[in-house]
Amino acid sequence: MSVLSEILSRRYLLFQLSAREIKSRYKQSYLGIAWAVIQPLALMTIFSIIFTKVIRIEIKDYPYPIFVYSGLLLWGLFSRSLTLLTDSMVSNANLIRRVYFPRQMFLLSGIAARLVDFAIAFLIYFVLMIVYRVRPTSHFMWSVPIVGIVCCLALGVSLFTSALQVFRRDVSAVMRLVVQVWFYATPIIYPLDRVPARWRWVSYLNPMTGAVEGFKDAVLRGRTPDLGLLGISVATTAALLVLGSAFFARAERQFADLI
Amino acid sequence: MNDQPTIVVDNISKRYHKRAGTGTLLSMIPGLRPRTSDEFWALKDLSFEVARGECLGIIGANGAGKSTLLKILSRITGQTSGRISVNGRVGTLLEVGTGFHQELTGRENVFLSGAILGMGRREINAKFDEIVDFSGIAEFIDTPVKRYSSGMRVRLGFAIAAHLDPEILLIDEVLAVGDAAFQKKCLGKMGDVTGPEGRTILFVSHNLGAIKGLCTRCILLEKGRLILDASAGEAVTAYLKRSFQRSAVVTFPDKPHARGQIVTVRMLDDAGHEKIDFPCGATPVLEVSYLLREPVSGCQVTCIVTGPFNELLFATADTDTHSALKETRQPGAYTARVALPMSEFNVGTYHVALGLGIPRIDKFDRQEALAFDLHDAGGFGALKDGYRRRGLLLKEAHWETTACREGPE
Repeated sequence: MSVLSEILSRRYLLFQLSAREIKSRYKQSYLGIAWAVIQPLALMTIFSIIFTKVIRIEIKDYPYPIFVYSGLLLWGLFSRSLTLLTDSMVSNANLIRRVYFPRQMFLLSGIAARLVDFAIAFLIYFVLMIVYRVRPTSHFMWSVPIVGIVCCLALGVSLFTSALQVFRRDVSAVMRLVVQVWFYATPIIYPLDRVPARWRWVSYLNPMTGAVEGFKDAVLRGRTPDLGLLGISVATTAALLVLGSAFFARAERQFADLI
Repeated sequence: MNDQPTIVVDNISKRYHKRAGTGTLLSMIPGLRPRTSDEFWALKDLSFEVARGECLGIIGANGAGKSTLLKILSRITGQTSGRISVNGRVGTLLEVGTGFHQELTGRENVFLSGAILGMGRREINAKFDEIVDFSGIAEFIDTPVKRYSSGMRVRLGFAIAAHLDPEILLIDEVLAVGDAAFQKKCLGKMGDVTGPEGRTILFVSHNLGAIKGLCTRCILLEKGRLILDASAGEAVTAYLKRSFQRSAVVTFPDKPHARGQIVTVRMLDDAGHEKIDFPCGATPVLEVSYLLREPVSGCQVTCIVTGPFNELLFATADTDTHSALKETRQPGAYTARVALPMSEFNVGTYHVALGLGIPRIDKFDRQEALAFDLHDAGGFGALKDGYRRRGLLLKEAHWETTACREGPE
């Protein structure tokens, strides 16, 4: 039985694991699920102060806060998924040692939990749209496939990192650093056209560039995303998913012994 | 279809690397790498088949590979070589309360743990009331599991496990916890459904009584190899014979790195002669010679006596008699003697396990030391009136009988 059909046949378990991930995170906390909103809002405020009061950065047509929030929103989904998923095998060591089901289900349930956070943070974006008088257009629907691409990209990367983390715990520390660098390499707090032309190819190679730019096009600028850029994201994501699945399947056999 | 074996294990082996995952970048430098081999075969060339509806016991000393075998069959870990084929939905019970989450309520955990163990939404919904009923903790079902006592956790975990309905059930030692009455209830429920049409069970346990009661067949593992595949009774007897030496003097191999170790054990009669066969009513004397390599305080020598089917009869320690022994003991050789209070036990083979260490802190040495026999001495309980009194204990009870003149009204 292939892994995919096995996962499908146990979708109730997937639901339960996702529910556990969501419920356990906010139990015994005062603010509960509000934390999903506080983080992007805080970052938005900090970057807005820095780039409008301290260092001036010019954004054509849009106020900086809503510009940066739209990027932070999608980035938050990606980066928080990545850090959660990288640790997900090790943090579920107890289950891995004692019962079998496809280990990929830990990754999928992690993504599902992060999508819930994302949806809540998205509500704040609608508030910002009203505040800054941004009208939604029909291009808004592009955000759906783009969110899908970002989830798959996080999944593709974590197929490698979560398995490697079982072998060596350094991986999670390395990933935290990588995520930080990756954040600044992606046009979130600055617009893509501010990158010097001769360095722009680096940005283009980054699969998150197409996603973040496309997302901003869809929810903010109201235009069709740059399909060339988005194509790079899709191709990278597909390659990572295929290679990652093969790598994960090989590594998985040793999880219970090494974890 | 039914004649086909449900499980076929074909020549499987499993190798572990003792130091796996411990190396750092530094140890990549050839000179710094330890030279000794770190290979360890948990299972070696194991083959057997299990038919549908069979209940197979798996026994063996600690480290014999029992749990590794279950983990391979349940796909938790892969084998190094060989092939297995498993036909049917597998349920694995390696612990009670698999997947319980501390922060979630009992109700939430029934659904979570049930799903983890392989149940679907409809199945759990249908059995939910029955599970809660079986656990006997209905009034706490909406309390977070972290507030449960360990007993309550076990009961809820067992209740879920007992309602699993896989075609093949792999059970590891889980029955070692929980109170006896509840265990029996669970064993009963699990045993209900074996048989030609029912489920197949593989059952690992140190509880040899349970193995005999539940299993039709039993395999005995020793150091990763299958050494006997026979009826449960035969396998249990063979296991006890192999693990406990039938000799009045047993000397153990040197453990130069242990803080202390048991050196020799002797079994003596009242007169001080070495002996392993005593008449019922006798008081065998156990003599333990041990060694401490450094001064230790709080250490004790413990002795555990188990019965013909490994039932734990009693445990005793040298500090019970002389609490001054809890103070620091100087390094050196010691000899301890204890008269085992066996006078009320029935005919059979009894086993002595010895331990040396600081309770709950450090175990220096542990040995399944030896076995001795009690035989019929012709007194009470002996072969009389054509049968022998049954039971672990020989207890003569005093009866008084009065003849009633008037019959029942």
